[in-house]
Amino acid sequence: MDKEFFVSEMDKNSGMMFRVAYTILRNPDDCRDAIQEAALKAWAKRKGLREESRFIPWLMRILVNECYSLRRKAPLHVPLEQIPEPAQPPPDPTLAMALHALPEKLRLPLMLQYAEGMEYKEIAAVLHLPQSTVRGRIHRAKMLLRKELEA
Amino acid sequence: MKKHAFEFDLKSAFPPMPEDCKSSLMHAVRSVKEEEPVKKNALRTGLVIALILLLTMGAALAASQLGLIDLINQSTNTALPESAQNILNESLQKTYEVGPITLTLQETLADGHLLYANTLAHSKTPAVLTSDPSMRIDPHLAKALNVDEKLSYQEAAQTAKVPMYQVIAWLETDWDFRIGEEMMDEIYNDQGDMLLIDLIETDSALVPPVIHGTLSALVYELDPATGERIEGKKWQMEDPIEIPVQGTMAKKEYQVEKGSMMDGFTLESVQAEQTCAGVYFTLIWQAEGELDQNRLHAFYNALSLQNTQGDRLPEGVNFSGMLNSDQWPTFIYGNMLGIDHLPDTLVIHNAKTNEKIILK
Repeated sequence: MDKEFFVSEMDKNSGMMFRVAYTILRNPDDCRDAIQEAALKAWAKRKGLREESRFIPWLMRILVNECYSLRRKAPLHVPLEQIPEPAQPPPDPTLAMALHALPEKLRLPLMLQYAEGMEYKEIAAVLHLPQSTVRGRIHRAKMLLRKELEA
Repeated sequence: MKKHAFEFDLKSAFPPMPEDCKSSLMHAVRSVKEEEPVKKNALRTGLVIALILLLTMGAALAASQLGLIDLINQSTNTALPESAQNILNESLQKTYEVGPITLTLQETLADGHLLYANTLAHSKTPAVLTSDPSMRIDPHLAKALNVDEKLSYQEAAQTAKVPMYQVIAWLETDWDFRIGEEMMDEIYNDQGDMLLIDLIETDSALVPPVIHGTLSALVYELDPATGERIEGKKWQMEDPIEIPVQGTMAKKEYQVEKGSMMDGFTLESVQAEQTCAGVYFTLIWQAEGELDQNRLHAFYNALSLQNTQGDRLPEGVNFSGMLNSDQWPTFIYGNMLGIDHLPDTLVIHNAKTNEKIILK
């Protein structure tokens, strides 16, 4: 992987990186830190990427791990008023609330499939889980999301 | 990437990427050099660090020292082989002063499939140590403080009029050989010391002979009146550690008679791998027809591995089994048992159908 490819892919996939980080961290400032750190780690580990076609799942795995590492160091309970608000709200605030009400174990694989278009195999690689586990969690997530929005 | 159909557009549940986030990313990305090591931009957070590192061999911190065996003893029918306990006993112990808390890395163990570390937190003066002040207090800590067991950690600190500290300790390692999910837990002794446990699943094909990690810890003083962190009262430590990976001790493939069936599923093979931590069993089954998740999970829950006396063999230290149907109609049942030898005879029992398959 050369620098030109790296820069181009980062630019193209920056939105995805933000959504994945936001799913875990929910804090735009923490997202910025995690994304930056993950990008630098990805460059440092670039020799570990065997095929450029696998770049996105490979990058997402690094990013998810970085988000988990950052979250350990963050407060467990942050008063709502201390979480910085994003500069612009989401286009669908009702959907946003319902999605973020899901447990993270379900929320993350759901958004990786339906917001980012990943296949089960790719999501399984990102999350280090069997595909059958990923399938089950997405199924439950969809049911819960529909129930949340009907309420 | 494929477009998957779903009635909701999940992208609309997210705010757009803030401009400063994008520019910070692209600035970092454009600054990388093709061959030179990368320097990162200064990140937002500034941390107060107070650390005095003491390196001791076999330091005993408290009169009654907690360990993995105490966590095991909290579960029914879970065991730890003597080989594992010996390795835990021989672990290099390190002690750190992290603000008002003394932390001791006590036990470490890696067998290729799991990586385990525990850290004992001790306050020099009576205090509430917790990872979450809102949760119900541990009975041992309640006894140490002489407070009602029904209180939360925060309420206990108020009642006992002692300070409260949030203590977090974990093992940072390379992620390449980590799989599944990490388990973190804590238990207490009667002196109010807190044992922080970190258990990580690893891929035995990818784990190196020695795991190089960093023991990280954070201590925050919390206000008992509010449960919030007190500004300026934060301490942290990081220390590199090495954990040798103990290899496989023995393997066995059990003889499975062709056509061995249980509840409509055919048993294809049974393999066992003994490590210092226990024995990992892998049972491969063949099914027919479409995958029915409910039926499969019911089958998984009904299965147990027993000895010839009909006693269920004790669960092992990883506290979890595995069910993988990625290659349906083939599926894999995995379980780790806390036994110290490969059984000559293994009995697979189904509690729902009362069927047995006996293997040698």
